[in-house]
Amino acid sequence: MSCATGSLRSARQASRSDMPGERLHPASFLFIAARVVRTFLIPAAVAGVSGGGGDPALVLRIIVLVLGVPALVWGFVEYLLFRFRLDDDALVVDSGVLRRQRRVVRPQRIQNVELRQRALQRLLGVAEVRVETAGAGETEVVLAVLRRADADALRVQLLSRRAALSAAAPAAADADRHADRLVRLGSRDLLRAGATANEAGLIAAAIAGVLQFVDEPVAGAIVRLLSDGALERVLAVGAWIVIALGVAAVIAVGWLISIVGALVGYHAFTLERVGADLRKEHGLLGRVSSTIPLARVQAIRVEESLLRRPLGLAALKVSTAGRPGRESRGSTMLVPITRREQVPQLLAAVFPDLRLGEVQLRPAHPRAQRKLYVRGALYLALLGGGATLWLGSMWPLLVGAPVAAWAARAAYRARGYARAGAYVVTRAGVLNRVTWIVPARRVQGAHVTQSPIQRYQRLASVIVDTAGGGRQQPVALDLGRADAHAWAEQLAETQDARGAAGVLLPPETARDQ
Amino acid sequence: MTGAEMLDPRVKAVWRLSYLVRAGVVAVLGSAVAVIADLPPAIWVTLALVLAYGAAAFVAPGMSYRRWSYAVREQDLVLRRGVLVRSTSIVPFSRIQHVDTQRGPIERAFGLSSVVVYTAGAVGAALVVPGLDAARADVLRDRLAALGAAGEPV
Repeated sequence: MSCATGSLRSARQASRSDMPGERLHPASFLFIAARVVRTFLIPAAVAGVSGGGGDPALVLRIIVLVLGVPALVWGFVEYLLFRFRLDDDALVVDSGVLRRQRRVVRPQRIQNVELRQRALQRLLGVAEVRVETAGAGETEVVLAVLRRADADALRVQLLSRRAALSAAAPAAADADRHADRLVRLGSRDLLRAGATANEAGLIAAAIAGVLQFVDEPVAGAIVRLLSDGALERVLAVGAWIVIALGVAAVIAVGWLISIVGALVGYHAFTLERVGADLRKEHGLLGRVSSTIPLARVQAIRVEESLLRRPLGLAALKVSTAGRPGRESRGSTMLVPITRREQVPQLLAAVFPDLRLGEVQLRPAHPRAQRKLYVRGALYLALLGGGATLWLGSMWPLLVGAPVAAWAARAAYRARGYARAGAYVVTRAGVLNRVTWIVPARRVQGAHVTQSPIQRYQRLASVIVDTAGGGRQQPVALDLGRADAHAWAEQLAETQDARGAAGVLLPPETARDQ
Repeated sequence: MTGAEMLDPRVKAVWRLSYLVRAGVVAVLGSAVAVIADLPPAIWVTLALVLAYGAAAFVAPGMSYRRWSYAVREQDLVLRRGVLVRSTSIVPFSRIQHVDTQRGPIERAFGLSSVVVYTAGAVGAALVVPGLDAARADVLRDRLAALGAAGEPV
């Protein structure tokens, strides 16, 4: 131990300032030990089983000895060697036991300061502070853990320092204390969110469940009966009813999981506007509180899924630059559920000069309708035709035809695009209707693409490239060819040569994405 | 403002050679699998792939060369390319994060070089203008870098 402290002292002497940093909360060593245990659990278990043989008590003792004790010691040493301090111009973190590391984070580079409390951390009254910066592939700094009050104070300090240093929001430092509540979700909202969430997941779970279920005895029975040449007998046995019940059970379980997930994960969800930041907080067992600087918002997606549309519900997601590899690549939930009428008001909190109600979306080219109907007919022929041949009944085709026609019509009607003032808006999707809103000055480029089928029909699509959101980018689908090129030219006109800041990204990130 | 420019015609040879190299690699790997794993059908698959690459080597370079063009305009860079899926990319200079030149071994053998334009976007994260004479590529790189720097401070 004394040797470890000695190396700390020498590291500190080499530092640019002689001020010693602060330590984390003493309970930190527990969480560090837990991390070590998680990392080495499998090898330790292997060692325990091979050493202890059939005696469970001996196995446990070996695991505790080779893993538990060293992990606690390591946790304590790492806790002792971890120092951080907030200077005038940087957050400086010294960490590492074997390899010492100093990380210097300038406040103006900070994207997001997140406060996270897992269940155990809540019990102990401590919290993790996670600092994200543009361009870092992972969280730049994790301070785990601090006393809750200290964590709050540190976050306020980091954010106000960033606001003071950042040219984008000079006035924000004073406004920081004033919080405007935008959204507060109660249990009823969350029930609605969970009950209508993720129908694609439900369907997938249902199919997987059925496959699992059909897999063994039932499939065997069906095959045997079919080989006797009597599908009627399957029906008589009631296998279909059993399968239907199984599907219903799987859907019911998936549905319950989704509801419970929403109730726990988004418990007491609040979204506030604090100065030049959005702050959201949620969670029942663990609390997550994160900050999204408005200046970093690249785009917002309004998602209205098939289940939510008739209920007039929608969800909002926001994409920010420089958080690749996280939560569906740079796009974060902003509001898990809201009424459609409230969407314009919420958007106005992020984009004050946007008038979504007045935006007239231009439809896709009429020729796109033909393309969508042809696509629907192809799907119908493949799926419905196949089922018809397999069952020897016309029903799948008869039922499928109107569904395919409706889907093609709905797909066409969902599509739209517009350049409205300083914003670009695109919309598409039947299962999940997504409306993108991108500030024109955040557009990173315009890409016109034309598949062979589109070329035949003289159509083309325009991708509106943004710096957030990963692979998913706003697209205006199936415009007339000339319209597509004209719109792309319009998108590329950046009226921002004087001032409006683009994205601050180091070259490494541009290459990663 | 400059009109659309074509790539250096030598790029066709570069593309052709890279298709042939791929055909060679497939031939070697495929025969190895067929012999070592004792899978005679692998020979037919290999043969089909080699023939496909061989055919592509003769047809594709000419077609993509005719489709490829780029233009450095007043405010932006425009790339047009693609035989099956055609695409036109417009990147305003102010969105260029940085510009590289890169040279693969085959390109180097022909005295060619590629210019890579990086943006913060996801789709246009790295846009490649291949097959430029090395000197011309350096000029284009420096010009784009200067134009990008003259725009907004990113």
